[in-house]
Amino acid sequence: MDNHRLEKHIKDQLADHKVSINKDDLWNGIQKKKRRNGLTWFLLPGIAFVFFIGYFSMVSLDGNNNFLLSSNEVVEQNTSVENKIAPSKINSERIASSDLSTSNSENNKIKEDDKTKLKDLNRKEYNSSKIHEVNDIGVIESKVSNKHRNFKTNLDPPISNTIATTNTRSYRNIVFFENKILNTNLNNLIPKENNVEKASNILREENKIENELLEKNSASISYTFLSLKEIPLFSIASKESNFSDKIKDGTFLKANKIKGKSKSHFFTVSLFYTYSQVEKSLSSSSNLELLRFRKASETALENVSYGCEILYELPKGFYLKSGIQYQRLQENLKRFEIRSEEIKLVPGTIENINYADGTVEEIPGMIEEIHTKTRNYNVYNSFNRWDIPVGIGYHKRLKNFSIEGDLNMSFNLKSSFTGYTYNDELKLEQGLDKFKSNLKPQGFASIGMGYHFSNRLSLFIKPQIQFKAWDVSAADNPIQQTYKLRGLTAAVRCNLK
Amino acid sequence: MSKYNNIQAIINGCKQNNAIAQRALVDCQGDRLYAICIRYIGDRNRAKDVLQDCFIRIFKYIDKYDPTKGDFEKWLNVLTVRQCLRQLEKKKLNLVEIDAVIQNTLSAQPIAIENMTADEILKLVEALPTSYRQIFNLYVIEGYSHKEISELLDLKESSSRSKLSRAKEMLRMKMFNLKLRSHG
Repeated sequence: MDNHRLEKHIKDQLADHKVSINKDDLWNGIQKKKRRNGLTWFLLPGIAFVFFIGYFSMVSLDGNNNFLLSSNEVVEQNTSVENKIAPSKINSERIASSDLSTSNSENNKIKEDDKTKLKDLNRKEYNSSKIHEVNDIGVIESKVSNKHRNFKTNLDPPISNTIATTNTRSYRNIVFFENKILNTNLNNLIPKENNVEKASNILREENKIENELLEKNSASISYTFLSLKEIPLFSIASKESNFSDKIKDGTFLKANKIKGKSKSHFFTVSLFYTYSQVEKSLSSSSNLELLRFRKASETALENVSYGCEILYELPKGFYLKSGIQYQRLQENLKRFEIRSEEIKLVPGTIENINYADGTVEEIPGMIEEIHTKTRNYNVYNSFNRWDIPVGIGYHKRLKNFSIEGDLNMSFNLKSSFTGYTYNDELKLEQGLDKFKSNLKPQGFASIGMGYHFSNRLSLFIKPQIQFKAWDVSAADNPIQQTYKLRGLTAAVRCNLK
Repeated sequence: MSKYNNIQAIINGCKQNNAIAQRALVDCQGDRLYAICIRYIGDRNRAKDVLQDCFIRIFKYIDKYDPTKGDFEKWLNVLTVRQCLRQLEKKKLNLVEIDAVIQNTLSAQPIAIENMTADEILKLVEALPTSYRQIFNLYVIEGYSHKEISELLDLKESSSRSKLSRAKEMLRMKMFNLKLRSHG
């Protein structure tokens, strides 16, 4: 038999050949696999979403937080030594050898004098009458000490109504607000007790806590400003082989006279992340002074939103989508500086006795050493909102790429403000009742391009613009505050069907 | 009597994701598609597994089937072959290259292939090394050209030709051995 006949015979025999298979087993196997696949593709976006939320919860900035910009510590030693003049060292020594008890009593007297001096110093330093002075912006020294302590829990800003609770530290704290409009008075904290050692221990303990907190905050900053490509979720690479791509390009279909057609899916789960530039606008007709002040001092920083959407495909390339979205808009309220001073007693020379023969005797004792720590912080405010975005869009697929555009409305579920704002008297206040807890529906549009790694997984990049500014101010707020956003969205999509 | 008694009704039912229609499609096309899977995969247990994946893909993409562009059975064949090749590519099943092929040893022997049943031929095809089996199936049964096969499998046309030639030679040899055994 020649080749041609052999081929023809085999083709005839095998082309429509059937091999019996147990249909029930086959059907059960199909059902089992379908369930397993469905579960996998349902779980994957879920896990990814949990990861997303967890990731951003971990790095998200607390509106109450103040972030360390710089830190500096200066140690200053009190080296002023009192000089005394004595007749001669020999005489002194003679006196010492002839009347030891006298000398001892003198030494004791000197030590007693030292203690008295220290007590005087402590009284002078800590019992001064400059207590509870309130500066222009309602910030007093003592509260900073409280703030210092509060780093471990709730980072309250300096607020005048908490003065009375704070004067328990035996070190001094000073706050400088870097605002040239306002002159800040620097006040000393007045401790009730003079136990320097105890105070030093407390300070050490607090510094430890504070350092831990500051390290944590520094880490948060470095995470927050990661670029999109550095976020692990966006580095997903296709593992589809060239071979599979070639199959997808229609070669098979062409050979069988069935042309390739782009695949679409009924449901698509999309995880998205949007980073937006914020344009803040403040307006007021009642308090122009406050308006000018706030315009000069506040800056809107950024808006980050992320969430999960489900897309439902309609005929002719249209789709509907809806989901849930969390947004966080952050602004920089004020920079301020905290300076704390700790007085430590260290061994040193408290007095020099100059004898007539030119020799000098140093009297040892405890001297004061001042440790000054300076730290610069930024105060951030933030608006947080949960929304349900609903949209309609159109997409067109071109091989592995696709373009799409959509129009959306975002329905606010909840809105909250964390942080501080200035009141009518230009003093810092918590602005909880100055902002709306529910915002009006907001429209936005986006147009973008996607790359399909496979029929299951695709990545989209979409510039996004908002139609109408967020109006966040409550009716009784003298300043009307709105935000406009222009952002870039990155989305990972998984097709469920 | 089930309303899914003709292929068009089954297709329509499957497009609506109807489980009864899907089961009807499995019943009427399962055996034929299983034979295709065996031809490509070589191992019957694995072929059964691949066939399940094939049906899942068929149900998934059936709404894309356009009757004006071709016969439904052809469309099923294409999807099944694609799935088989994808699986083979994924698993790299038995890619044993046999270069020391028998050279024209049996070409002169008259073999009564006409007398062989389809099952017997299928068993011989199953026994071919995977790379030979792929090319043999694609060229001889599916009707692809060497150019298309070379693009599909990412190999040279000449390689496709030589593998096909070796596959045929191996088949001939197997047929001859089978005949010898049957004659005693």
